[in-house]
Amino acid sequence: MATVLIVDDDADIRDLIALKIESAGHDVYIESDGEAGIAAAELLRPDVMVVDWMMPRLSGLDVCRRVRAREELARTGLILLTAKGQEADVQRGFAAGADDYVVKPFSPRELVSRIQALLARVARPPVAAPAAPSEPRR
Amino acid sequence: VTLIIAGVLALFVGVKFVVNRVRHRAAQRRDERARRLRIAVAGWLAEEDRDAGTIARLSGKEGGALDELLCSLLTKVRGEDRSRLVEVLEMRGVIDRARAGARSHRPLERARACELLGAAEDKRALFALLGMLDDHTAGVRRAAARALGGLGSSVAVPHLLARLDAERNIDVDTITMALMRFGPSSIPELRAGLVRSSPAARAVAADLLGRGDRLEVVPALISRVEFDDDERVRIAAVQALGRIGSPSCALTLLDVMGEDQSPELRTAAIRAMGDIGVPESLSVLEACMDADDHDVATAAAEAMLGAGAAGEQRLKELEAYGDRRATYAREALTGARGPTPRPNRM
Repeated sequence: MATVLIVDDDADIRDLIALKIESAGHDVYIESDGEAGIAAAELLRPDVMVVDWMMPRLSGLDVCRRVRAREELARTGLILLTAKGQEADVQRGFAAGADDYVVKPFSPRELVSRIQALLARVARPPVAAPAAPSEPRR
Repeated sequence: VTLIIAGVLALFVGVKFVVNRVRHRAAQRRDERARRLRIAVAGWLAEEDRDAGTIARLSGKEGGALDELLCSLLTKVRGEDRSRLVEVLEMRGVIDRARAGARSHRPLERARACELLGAAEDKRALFALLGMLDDHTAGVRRAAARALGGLGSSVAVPHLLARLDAERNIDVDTITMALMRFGPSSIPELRAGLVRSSPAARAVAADLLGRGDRLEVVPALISRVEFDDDERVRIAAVQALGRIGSPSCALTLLDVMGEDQSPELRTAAIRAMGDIGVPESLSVLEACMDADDHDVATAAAEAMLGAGAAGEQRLKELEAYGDRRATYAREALTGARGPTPRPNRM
């Protein structure tokens, strides 16, 4: 069982995905703005955060940046959930530290699958880097 | 007199207090009802094999709030969950009421009906929505265009294109956004629209065909660049070719980069050439940097960078000449390097 934190100001979406994720067997916590989301993340150290982009007080993009700046949250997976679907927006999302990007309208089932996949990735131990060759290849 | 005034004031304050309290209670009840319904609907969607009967049977105030919630969710989710929401809306008669609402004498109701029918992707509403493209209220026409975008039936493509020049027209942004939702199924109709419609519609068709990265539309676009008698269409076709990025259109683009063409068309062709990145175009681009028109010369310098290392090298050489081309070369190279860092303040 993993801990998932949902940060979204849209109550319809928040409750919908919270129950979907709960039914997949995870602990779910919800917050409705970016500042509260960061505070909750520091307290809970969630395995995955699902963050909306457009939110009051602190945008989802800023939440991603702040989470990535904290060492204690380094292993938290981040999924950006947003209506912004342009190529440049997706690039900005990943540049801010998101691990995955879901565009609205979205499939709640697909979101749960993405969370499961991200959890599996987070849980997997990092692969050791191959040893450097002693001589340059010719 | 003082007592009477004090009494009236006290009465006023008392009434105000009671009214505020009643309103506050009503808002609390409404919020609580909405929260309960959100949880009920989310719970129902979370359990994939649960029957929709309990939810579908709600009536009264709860029923009204439920319909609002379901309609709101319909625009936010897709996939199987969306289909289940549509199913419940059908069971509750909401979709039928929207079909009837499309014939209402009130514009707001007609527009709302369009939005819901589009969000529910109700194929049975296709002909009603096509008719509403000619509604006498502009907002309803726009809502019908958006709804047709949701339905995605290619039958609607020529009707939407025709609205750009109709007496009761629809703005180009709404039409473009609606057509963008159709995806590849609209390509045959858009190709037909490239030839058989007004200049404004041909320009929109060219623009949309350029967004799909489909090589099979390149010959049709090349033919518009070469033969169309409207410059808007030629520019849109050139830009579309640039977005697709196929080098097979390089000769056509080189043709319209010449001085006998308008600066707007030349600029578009030069930018498209830069997007495609054809090293053989360097000498022509270099000649364009001498153009009298500032936009043409700027675009030519920037397009040289698109031709790769050879283009960048040539720009560095031109930068050293100290003539007009040197200025454009410097600007292009500076733009490629990014903003100049500011010196640190003491």
